[in-house]
Amino acid sequence: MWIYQKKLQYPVRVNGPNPFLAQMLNSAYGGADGELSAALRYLNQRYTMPTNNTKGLLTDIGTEELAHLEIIATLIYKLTTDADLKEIAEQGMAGHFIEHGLSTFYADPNGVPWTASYIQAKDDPISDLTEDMAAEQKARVSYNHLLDYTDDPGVIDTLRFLRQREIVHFQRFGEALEQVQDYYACTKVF
Amino acid sequence: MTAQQQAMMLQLQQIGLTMDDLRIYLDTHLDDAFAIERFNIAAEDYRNLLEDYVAQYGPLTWTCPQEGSSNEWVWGMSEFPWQY
Repeated sequence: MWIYQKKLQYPVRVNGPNPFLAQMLNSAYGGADGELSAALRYLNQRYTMPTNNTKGLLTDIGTEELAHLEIIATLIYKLTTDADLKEIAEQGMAGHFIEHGLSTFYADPNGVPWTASYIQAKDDPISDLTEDMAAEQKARVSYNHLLDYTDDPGVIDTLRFLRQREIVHFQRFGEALEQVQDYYACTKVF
Repeated sequence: MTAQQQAMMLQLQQIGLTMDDLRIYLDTHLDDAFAIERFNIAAEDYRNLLEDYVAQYGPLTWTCPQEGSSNEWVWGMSEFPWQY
């Protein structure tokens, strides 16, 4: 099971309302390469992994992605708190506001709702871990794109942290892939 | 949240992140004795700091003892991280 902590993994500070940035951050929330996709992908793939430490890695990284999902939600929540209707409309968030008010929602910046077809599980650790490595790289690039559009120093700090974690996760998945390949090489029966 | 509570929370976040990072490192480096030692030091620091934090500001997680008022469910009243 999971035990919730009333603590963000990394601090979130914002300079004030910024509905434009909030809408763009939906990429990391409910977008194809966002944190929801990451968490659900890893936590679902772990059951059929061949070794305990690979099951552990997917559990631990999947759990960390849930913490990142909460960081993104907190950013979006804070960037929309005290935003007025005029700002929301002028900054391209009116569509979201009509559908959801200031609730967060699992959709990308274009309003396309999250779907399970963004993720896969193939009961094959080579395939799954390779997908996971690609997913971390795509998420890293999305944070680069978001940083190009961010001038709030607090948001930049948090996004840089999240981007760095994608790089660390990529590294760990690469190590796990190599270990799983060795494991199959050793257990193969001809 | 007071500046003092915020400073303590930041320390918890720093040590917590050290543990998060070592945890996934160790998942793929099972016999790295130095990293295990570092993890154990961080875990001990975290446990001590958490104890102090909970005694002063209430439970960070529901499995912490509900210190403070004995006839109020403190977990249900304390604020959430997006509120501060």
